[in-house]
Amino acid sequence: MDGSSEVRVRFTTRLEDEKLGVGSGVELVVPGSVKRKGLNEIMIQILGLGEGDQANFEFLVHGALLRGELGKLCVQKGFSVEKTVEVEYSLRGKPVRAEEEAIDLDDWVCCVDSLKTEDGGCIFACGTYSGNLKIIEGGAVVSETRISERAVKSVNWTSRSRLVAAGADGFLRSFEVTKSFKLRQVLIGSCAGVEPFESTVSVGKDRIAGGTSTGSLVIFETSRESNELLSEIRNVKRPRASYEDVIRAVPSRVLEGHSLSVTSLAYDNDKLFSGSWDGTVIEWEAETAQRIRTIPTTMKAVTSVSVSSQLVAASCTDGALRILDFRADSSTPVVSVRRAHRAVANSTKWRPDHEHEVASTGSDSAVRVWDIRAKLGVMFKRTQAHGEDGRGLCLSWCGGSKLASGGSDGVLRVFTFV
Amino acid sequence: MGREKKKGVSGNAANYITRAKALRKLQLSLADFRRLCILKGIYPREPKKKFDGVTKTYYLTKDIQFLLHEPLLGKIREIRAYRQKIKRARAKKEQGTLKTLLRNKPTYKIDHIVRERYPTFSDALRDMDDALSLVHMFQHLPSEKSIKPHRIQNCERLAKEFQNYVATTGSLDKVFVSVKGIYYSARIGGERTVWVEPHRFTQELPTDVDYRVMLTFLEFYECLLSFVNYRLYTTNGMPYPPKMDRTEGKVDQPDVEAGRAKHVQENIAEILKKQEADEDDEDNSENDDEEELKMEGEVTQQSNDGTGGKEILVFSGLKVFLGRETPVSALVFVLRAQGAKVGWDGENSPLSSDEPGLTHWVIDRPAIPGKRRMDLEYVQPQWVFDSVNNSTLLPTAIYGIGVTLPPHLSPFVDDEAEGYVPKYKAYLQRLREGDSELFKESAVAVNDDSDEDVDDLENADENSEAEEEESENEDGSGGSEDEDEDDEMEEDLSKDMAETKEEGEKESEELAKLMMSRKKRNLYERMVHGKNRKSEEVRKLEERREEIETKKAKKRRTRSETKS
Amino acid sequence: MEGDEPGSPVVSDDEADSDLEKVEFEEVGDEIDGLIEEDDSSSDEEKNTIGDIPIRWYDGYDHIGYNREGKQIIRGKRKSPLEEILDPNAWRRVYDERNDEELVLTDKELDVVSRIRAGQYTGRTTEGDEEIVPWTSSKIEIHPLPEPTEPKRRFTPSKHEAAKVEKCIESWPAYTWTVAFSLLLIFLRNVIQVVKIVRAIRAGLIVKPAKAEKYGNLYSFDVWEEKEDDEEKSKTEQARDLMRIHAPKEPLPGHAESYNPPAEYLPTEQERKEWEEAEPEDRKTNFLPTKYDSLRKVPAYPTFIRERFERCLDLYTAVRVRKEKLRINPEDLIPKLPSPEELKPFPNYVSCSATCKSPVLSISMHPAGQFLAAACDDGFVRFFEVPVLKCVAEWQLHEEAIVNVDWCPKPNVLVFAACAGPSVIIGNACSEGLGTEANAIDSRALLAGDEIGDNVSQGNEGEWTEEEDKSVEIKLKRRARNVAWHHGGDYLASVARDTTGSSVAIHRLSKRQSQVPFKKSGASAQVVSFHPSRPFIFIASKQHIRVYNLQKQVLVKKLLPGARWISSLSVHPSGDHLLVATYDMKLCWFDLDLSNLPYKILRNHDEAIREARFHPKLPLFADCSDDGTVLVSHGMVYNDLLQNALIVPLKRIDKNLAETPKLRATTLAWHPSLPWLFTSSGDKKIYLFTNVN
Repeated sequence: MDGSSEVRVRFTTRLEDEKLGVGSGVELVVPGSVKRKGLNEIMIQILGLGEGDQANFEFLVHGALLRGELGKLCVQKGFSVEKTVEVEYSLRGKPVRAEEEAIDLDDWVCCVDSLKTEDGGCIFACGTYSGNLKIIEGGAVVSETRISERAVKSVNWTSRSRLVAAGADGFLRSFEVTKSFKLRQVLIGSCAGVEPFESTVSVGKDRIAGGTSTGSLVIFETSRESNELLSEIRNVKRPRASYEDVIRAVPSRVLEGHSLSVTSLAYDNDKLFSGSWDGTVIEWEAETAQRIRTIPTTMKAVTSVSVSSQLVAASCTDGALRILDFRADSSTPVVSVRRAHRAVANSTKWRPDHEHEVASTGSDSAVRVWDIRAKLGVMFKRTQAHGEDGRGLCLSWCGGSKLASGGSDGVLRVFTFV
Repeated sequence: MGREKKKGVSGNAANYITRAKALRKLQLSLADFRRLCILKGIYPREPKKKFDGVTKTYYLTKDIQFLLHEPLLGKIREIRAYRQKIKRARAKKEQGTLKTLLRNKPTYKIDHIVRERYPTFSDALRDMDDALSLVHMFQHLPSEKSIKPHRIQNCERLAKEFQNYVATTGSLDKVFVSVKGIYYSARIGGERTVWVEPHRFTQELPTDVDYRVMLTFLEFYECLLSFVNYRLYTTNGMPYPPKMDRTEGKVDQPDVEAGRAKHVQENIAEILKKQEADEDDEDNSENDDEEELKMEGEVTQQSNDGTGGKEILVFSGLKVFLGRETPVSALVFVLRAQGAKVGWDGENSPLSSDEPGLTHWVIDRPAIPGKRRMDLEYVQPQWVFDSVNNSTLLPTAIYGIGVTLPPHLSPFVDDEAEGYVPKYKAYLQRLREGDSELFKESAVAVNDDSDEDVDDLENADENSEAEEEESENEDGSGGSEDEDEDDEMEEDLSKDMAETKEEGEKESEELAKLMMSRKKRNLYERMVHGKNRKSEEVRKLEERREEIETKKAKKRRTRSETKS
Repeated sequence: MEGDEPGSPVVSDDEADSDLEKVEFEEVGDEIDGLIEEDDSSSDEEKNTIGDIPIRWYDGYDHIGYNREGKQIIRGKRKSPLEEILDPNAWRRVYDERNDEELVLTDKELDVVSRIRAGQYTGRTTEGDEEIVPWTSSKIEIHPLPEPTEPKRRFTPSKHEAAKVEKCIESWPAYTWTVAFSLLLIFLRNVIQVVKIVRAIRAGLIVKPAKAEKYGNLYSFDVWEEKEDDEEKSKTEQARDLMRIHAPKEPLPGHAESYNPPAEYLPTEQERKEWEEAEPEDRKTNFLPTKYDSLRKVPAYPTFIRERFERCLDLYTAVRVRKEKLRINPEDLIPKLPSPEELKPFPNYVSCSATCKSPVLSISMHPAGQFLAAACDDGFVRFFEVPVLKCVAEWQLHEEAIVNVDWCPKPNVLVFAACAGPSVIIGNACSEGLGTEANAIDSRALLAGDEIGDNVSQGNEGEWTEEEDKSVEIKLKRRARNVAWHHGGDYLASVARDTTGSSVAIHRLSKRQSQVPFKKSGASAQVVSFHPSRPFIFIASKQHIRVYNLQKQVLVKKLLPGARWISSLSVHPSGDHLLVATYDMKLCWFDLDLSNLPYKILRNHDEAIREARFHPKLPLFADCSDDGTVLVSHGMVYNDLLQNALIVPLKRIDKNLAETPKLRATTLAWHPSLPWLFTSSGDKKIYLFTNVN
């Protein structure tokens, strides 16, 4: 469809504001070449707004934000110009800006997880390649513990007092965190029988899941009381000679599903999603550990997954950010593929309490926040967040406003959106 | 082991023969051999392996064998003997013998050769181009001791007869005035024949040309052409020889020289009278000639390149008057061939200058002599030619007097083969599809400003297009400029993906080339190279046109500024 | 005076004379009238005063001159030749053309004439009239006199001349009938006189009427009117028709040739100049486009005649060859290969790059796919973690450059072998902080070997020194260049080379034992590699590759890539195919079952190919060259022996690297399971290529 053709549109809105709501139901014919700016003008005319309140509208055509020409969008969506197009308008959010603070850590930051305290503050736990686990509060490193010889691959807050970390040495450690952020290792888990190399860990409801480099998942039950746990620890059979003073917990389950190493895990209340180098994302039943559904991504290794309401965002080594739809009724499992980074995309996280927004970072050292409804454009981007040819390695949202990203420059950047 | 093969009984050595050997075999001198080859149409060949040295010229043994049985061979030998006799008689001053010998010199006929070289009439028609061109050239050569006047007269006569036939049957379909001469193209018996006639000037004879060769060719061509003429006339029920007196050949000497011009006029007058006579007495037959011509036209249209098949004569019904300074005979030929009645500046013209109902006046002068007549159109000669080539009457305004003429394009160019279409041709194309406003545009343009030419007109409408283009892309820019810079970042991300993609596509076959065997690869590279050269030329033409037009546009702008 | 012309009639006797005259009335009046005038000059009265001019000048007029009174002498009515012939005594009549009168010769006059002709006295005299015939000569003859009787042929008509007459009669069809008639008459009378006529005819005195010059050699009949369809031809005719090549037509003129061409066709100044400077034969066109704004300004074209002439020359001197113009579209020459789209996944985009501290000579990817080992020329081996290419550990093995590194093919151990200086070093990467505890255990176990390590078996070619749990070093006699592990992970082969030659050693880690089984073939060895499944070893010398069976200790086959210098070789995981890269720009694919010659030779690069590797799992292979490009290709091997391997070049990776203008890749490695390709080179860069879209 070329720009000259015309599209007849009907406006709808969800805005309750009686001043702005009057636009709904209006039908008119607009040239196909009109863009957001143009429609915005039209809308302002319709609503009869003055210069005083410069209203800025966002337009959704069948769930897709209008970017570029309306006609083109219609063509992409594949419905004819003859029938009227539903265009929902809503107030456009102000262009997101963020002031950022940088917390300097000595080494590459390979994982970060944040915990929101009652008073609204944020506590970040970072694992580094040199095996340190650092806890940051209020922009300062409050505690630093060397927990292993190898890199700390993944860290997760269970609660204010519990922290779980997985190291490249193949152990999964659970710590008790004191008020003063002192760490006391209460549990060390290794999945016997399988090749012990945990690359990732995720904490679900009274469960801890770990992924291994051979593609198997290990699940530890943490539901029982710690004394049971300790008793369990007590009647652990004698460890091998090479493992001194290690209290081992035996995994309650080992799930075989992936052919290559599992790179990322994510719990969604009773579901577990796992991404792997073999390019698939598998949905597991957390209770029964049944494998529910597998969605392949054409041999693109998945580096990280994040889930919100069964929509899985997966960052892949080809720099793409894939949105996978695990709802049972979904016809298209892969909702959208967008090239998010010029190099390997290393991490992605959904933005809490913003259903359409997801953040990603990658080896082009950029941090971006996307609105998945828009075919084009990002909401927020910070290029070279981790320096020239650095890498962004990990992300973590703290609430809806704070985004922390760690990278190869050994800096934890915290973006606060206003 | 079997017996060894004898040399020269088979293979190249047997199938081919060097010229020296051939001479020895035929017992001829080189000159006579040449003569014979020309007449019999024998030409050297290229053996697979030049067994007798690469510098030698090789003939087919069969051809030479075939020459061996040629009756002409005996004649040629006889002539040689005769020459020697004469020499001897001269040397001995035996006047009587000499006289005798001179009185009865041996002659020969070559009609059987025509028959055997062209078994059928259509074969002959297929091969007329060279014959016609040579004959048309010779008719303009000054007579000289090697070129006998009666030969020249023959040529004139043959040329006239042929043109007369073409004109009468109206089978001329293309004319092209080039710097070399005037190319005519006629469709006869479904064959397209193209010949070139030099511009009408007395040719000065270059000294480094071997006229004997050309005369030998001419000898054969005369013979061929006379047969063809006879056949053409008789099969079309026209009397042969047509009633043209012998002097008529002399008529169309260059008419730029005023002295000859008179002859021209009267003789053309005679032709025309005769013609009209012919047309009167057998117009019906001629009509059905045209019928069948049309048929042929359509046939050829299917068979040959689609150019053939003209439905009606372009100038039918017109009465055209030619100025004295125009190339009268050429114009008369062309106009008549397309069905116009022609008159010219001279006493014998069938139409006088103040004839009622004159439609066009062809003038090749900067200004109209005398007072302008309102009842007819003044055009330059090129109008005639271009009209024929486009088989429509072109708007005369473009070709008016004192107007800078549009380019005169070759009708023989196949555009898609050429790859480049001149602008004027495109314009003519649109004209032929007949959109009317072109006419008035042109008219307007030519009226309001004489030195604007058609390019300007097209510029005009092109400019309009350009304007709307740029208008649209400026609003496009207006659109893009308000897009957020994130978008364009996103754009370029997706863009570099895209370009990796498409580069992948074009690269894939570039990689496939790697799998070609070396032989194929070389072949491929050669072909591609050829293609590129052609496209390169086209590109050159285009950019040159670009800069010319920009210049012109600038000029126009400055002019308009000065006006305002 | 034509009278004394050679071949004018020599008349022997009178009637012949007169006959001749009659004959010549028609044709050659002037000669005979010359004669007559001669003997008329004696007679006194001469009417005609025109003097001694040829009378035929008066042919056009009705008078023949003027008499003494100046009156015109009107030409009288003459008898028709027929009457004359029929007249009985026509023979004694002489017509005096000049005076236009008939003279009848009396007997006397005849007598005189004949006497004069016979050279006798005119008057009849009694004496000396009859001539003396000297029957005998004065002198005495010794031989008897000849018989004076006449031979018969003297008085019989000559047959020979009769034949001549006949010939000449039939040879002059166009003869005027009178002459013919009189000829006939004469013929009847006496053959001999005819000879004179014949002579006259031969002498061209009697000419046949001149042929019509009117139309020259123009014809007014139809050559083709008898049946058009070519009548049955002789075999040679048909053969010639087959062989005939029609002359190509002249090229038709283009726009540029017009007297008023479009402006873009006009040459620029500099084009014009070079056209004028060029030799006529190497000009592109034989004319220069020029624009005349009106037809009357067009001048004559100077070389028109010459061009025609050249055309003629071409027609009869140019060699005609039938060249079959191949109509194929060049694109058809390109072999139809499956498009790369179908053959995904393959690496096509640089996803990550890292900078090593020093130039990298060789890289190797761990079979578990976690770590990349890079051998640097400062004696370090550096370990990078994929996919972020973080350098997780570095280890100085040696003070000299590490020229080659290779991971032990067991996935659960992190043990590698490296070549540095004269020694092959087997290192345990776990000791440098890689892998997990389990890895460490297994690696240590592998490195420890069997407990019989102390008593080194005799005939050991290398001296083994080891550092507990960390590394084992094997010192060789020559400088180690290349090392390759056996898939079992216990054996490894090394190539050691120096100026004196090179040697292939096979080491057994568990037994701490190394031997050099190939004495001579190892002499020029470059690269070595084990068969993935069978006990074969491939040893590449500069020009060939030898395949040995290690159990039977025999040479299995010898492969001939036809290259000058082999740079690297890689064995297909199936073991039946071999990829050989050479420094002379060739990449040879061997199918071991097929032959010992290359199944396919790819000339994909403009410079030496450094290394070529098969992907361990996927049907991919890649080669890297000094020309700065890495070519990723699809190499599918089928199980059934009938189907040959399918080779499709997929992607040439060169310029699409943001960082470096020109990729330099001297070594490469594949990820064990993913379509990821790692390349590195002396510029310290390590690239990771992954499959994008």
